[in-house]
Amino acid sequence: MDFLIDSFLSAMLLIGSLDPGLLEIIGVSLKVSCTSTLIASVIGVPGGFIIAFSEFPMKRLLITILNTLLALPTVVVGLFVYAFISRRGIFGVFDLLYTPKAMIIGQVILIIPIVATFTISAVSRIDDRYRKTALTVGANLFQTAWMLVREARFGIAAAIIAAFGRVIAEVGISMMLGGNVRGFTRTMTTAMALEYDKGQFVLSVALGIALLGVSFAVNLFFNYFQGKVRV
Amino acid sequence: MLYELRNLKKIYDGRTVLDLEQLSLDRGKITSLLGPNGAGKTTLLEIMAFLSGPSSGEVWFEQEKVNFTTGKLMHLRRKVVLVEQQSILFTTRVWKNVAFPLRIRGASKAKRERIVEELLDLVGMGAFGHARAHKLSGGETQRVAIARALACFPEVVLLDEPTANVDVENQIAIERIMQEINQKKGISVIFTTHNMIQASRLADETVFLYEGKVARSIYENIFSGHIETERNGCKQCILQYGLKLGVDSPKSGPVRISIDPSAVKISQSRANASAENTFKGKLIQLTDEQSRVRALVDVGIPLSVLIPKEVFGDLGLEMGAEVWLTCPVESIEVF
Amino acid sequence: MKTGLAWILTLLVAGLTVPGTTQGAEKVLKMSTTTSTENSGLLDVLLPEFTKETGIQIKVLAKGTGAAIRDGMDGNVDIIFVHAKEREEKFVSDGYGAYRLAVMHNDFVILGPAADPAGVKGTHDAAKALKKIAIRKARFVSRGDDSGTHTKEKALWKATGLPLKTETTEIVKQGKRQQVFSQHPEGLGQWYLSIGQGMGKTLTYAEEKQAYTVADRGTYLKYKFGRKQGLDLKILCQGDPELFNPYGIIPINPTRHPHVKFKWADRLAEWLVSPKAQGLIARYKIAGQQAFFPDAIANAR
Repeated sequence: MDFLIDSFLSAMLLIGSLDPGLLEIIGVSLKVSCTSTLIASVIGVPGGFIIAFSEFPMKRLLITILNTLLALPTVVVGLFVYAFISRRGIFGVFDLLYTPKAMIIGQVILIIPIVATFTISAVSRIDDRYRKTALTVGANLFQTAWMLVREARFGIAAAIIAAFGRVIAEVGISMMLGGNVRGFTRTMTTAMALEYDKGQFVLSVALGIALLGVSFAVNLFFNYFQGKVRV
Repeated sequence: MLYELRNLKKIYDGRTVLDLEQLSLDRGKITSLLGPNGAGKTTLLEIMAFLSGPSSGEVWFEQEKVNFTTGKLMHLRRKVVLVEQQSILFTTRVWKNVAFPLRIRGASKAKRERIVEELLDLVGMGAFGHARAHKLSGGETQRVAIARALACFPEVVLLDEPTANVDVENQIAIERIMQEINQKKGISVIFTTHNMIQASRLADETVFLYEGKVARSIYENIFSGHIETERNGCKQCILQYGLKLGVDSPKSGPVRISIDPSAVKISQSRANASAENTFKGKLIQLTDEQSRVRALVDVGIPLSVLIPKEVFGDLGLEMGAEVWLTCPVESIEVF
Repeated sequence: MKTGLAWILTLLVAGLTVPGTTQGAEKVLKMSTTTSTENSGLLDVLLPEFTKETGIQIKVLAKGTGAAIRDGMDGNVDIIFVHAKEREEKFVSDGYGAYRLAVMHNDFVILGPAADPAGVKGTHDAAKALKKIAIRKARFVSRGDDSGTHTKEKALWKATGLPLKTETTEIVKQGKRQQVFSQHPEGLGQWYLSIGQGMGKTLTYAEEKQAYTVADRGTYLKYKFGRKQGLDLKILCQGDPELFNPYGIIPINPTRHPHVKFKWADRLAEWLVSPKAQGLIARYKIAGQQAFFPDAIANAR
């Protein structure tokens, strides 16, 4: 019990005093997670949209593969990307390994299936009459697609939130590709793993509480945003 | 000629839902497509709105053959707009729904505001501009959907059962709008309905659709029967309850027939006993339809007859009276 | 079908309960040690021999020294085998450990890329070598995990006389505010990369980034010669007595944590300083080179 109280009070102290080390870690986490979520959304939302609305052979197979990739372990993505960008890998010359860029690459690969499958299911649920209506009032393909995205916006927002949740909470890719470098690639989760390894459980739990706080704040923000557009 | 359809077929999952040999529709009129549920009316409207292509056959619009396979249909769709039976509005304000067609056509903000206001007034929804579209009732939704369709400045408005899901008040309003846009704006209006009275009240022309085909006569006198060839070579169609009708058709076996109600002759005495297909019946219902009177006569089966007003006056028929009906072979269509 | 299911269930249940039941049937000792000890491969030679002699099995939990000592403080393990002499002695004097036996030592080396941009090669004084790296702002990878190696590295930085940055984090422990310090040279996140990971990963990282680092010789040899794709990193500084790294074994004090298996732990500690184990340590070679040097004086307590 003491342990939990200590951890909680430490967390409050850390957050309350705006500890620069903590802010730095939160900053790196947010920067990397937001960037990967943004990139994955830019690829995944239109991608899911195209898959949902076009007919092609192997479509079912592709969706099944995407669904399988939802369960992709972070270490598999980490290893895969590692093999490419390591000094001995084919992209070794770009010196990407152990940089935020490497983390972003891994995380984008991790969450594109999430964004795409959520988008597919969100836009497939949209009544076909929306498509017909947009077409009959003279919308071109792009305008029709935009209208459908608008109608599916809550589902798509859910896709993006889920993706963000996955990257801000994952540790495998951040550790393997980011390397947990203090002030550079150390995120909340890798910091927690480290403090645990060091036996500093109090700090570890405090970071965990801070992580929850940040995730909660981000979700509040999204909720507020969703409330705004609910017209 | 606005539309010209030739050998048009639409097949869904192996079932032929539309099979039109030839159909022409005129510009500038109000045309009704009359038929029961499942007659293929909605399918036909979607093809005429260029939203889905036929399985085979040709669609000509304004003397231009429509090519459904290349997908370059936007210039056509911008001339024709479809209002669905249960229209959906985009999840936003009413105002933005009506403004959408204008916005995608690049109209200025001032122009959009002016036109949206004008159109909402036209459909009697002027006070609802800032309402959330999804909070409206069925009838209100339908009226906004019509305003949105008019914001496309179409040459043709297609309406699928425009009053099927609305209350009487909204029905009157919608019918008034349909007539107004036809008369004042010269827009060709094509609508589907299963309500014969509505069709005759609104439409300049009516096309009868039954089981995906154009029926020459009105659809209500439709019976299933069985064609047999008599010893003398004449063909007879035996209906339920044993009623026999002489027909002129190459078909045999189970068929459906329709009898054109305006071609059936009605009299109070057995005027021409030798005439083929003459039956005795009882007058059970009379309905006033502008220049004509519709009489329902029970001859074992209920048969609908249309009588011009002058003729009706001369006959002096009363409810319950005993009458004789003669159905000329030409009035019977076998399909 | 039903029997198949029953079989699976039985297997599952058996799988779940085995770790619990071994306490009765088999003799299992839990030992926390440092990642560098495990990575060196020495335990794979020593422990099976011990098990063969005594029937006591050893479950090894490899962590940073900090976490290993923490495990001991919490009574999560029966014995710890670490290399951070000062902290070990404090651990015993605080009453967590029963006693400490010096088992062996290896030494630390300063590694760097063959190109050696900071010109460290040939420097015997470890502190001087680090100073050169700092002045050139050449990439340096620090374990940064409070491990024995990290502790040693911090001591060396202190010896350089360079201005160090101290960071304090306030935490609450037993209701009282406490401060946790961490020291590192200027340039954190730029050239000084503190990655907070084990020795193996630190070597991989330094290799990837062609950076300098401080490593224990055993792990380095294993990574250099014991793998198909050995490291390109080279030893650039060695032999300074400041780089020696003594290992101690400490059974957990049974008066503090009565549940620990002190009898077996005691047996393991004694065995490690026995002539047989000391011989094994002396003969253990990585790629033909001796990695550890036995330190035990028999029966010394």
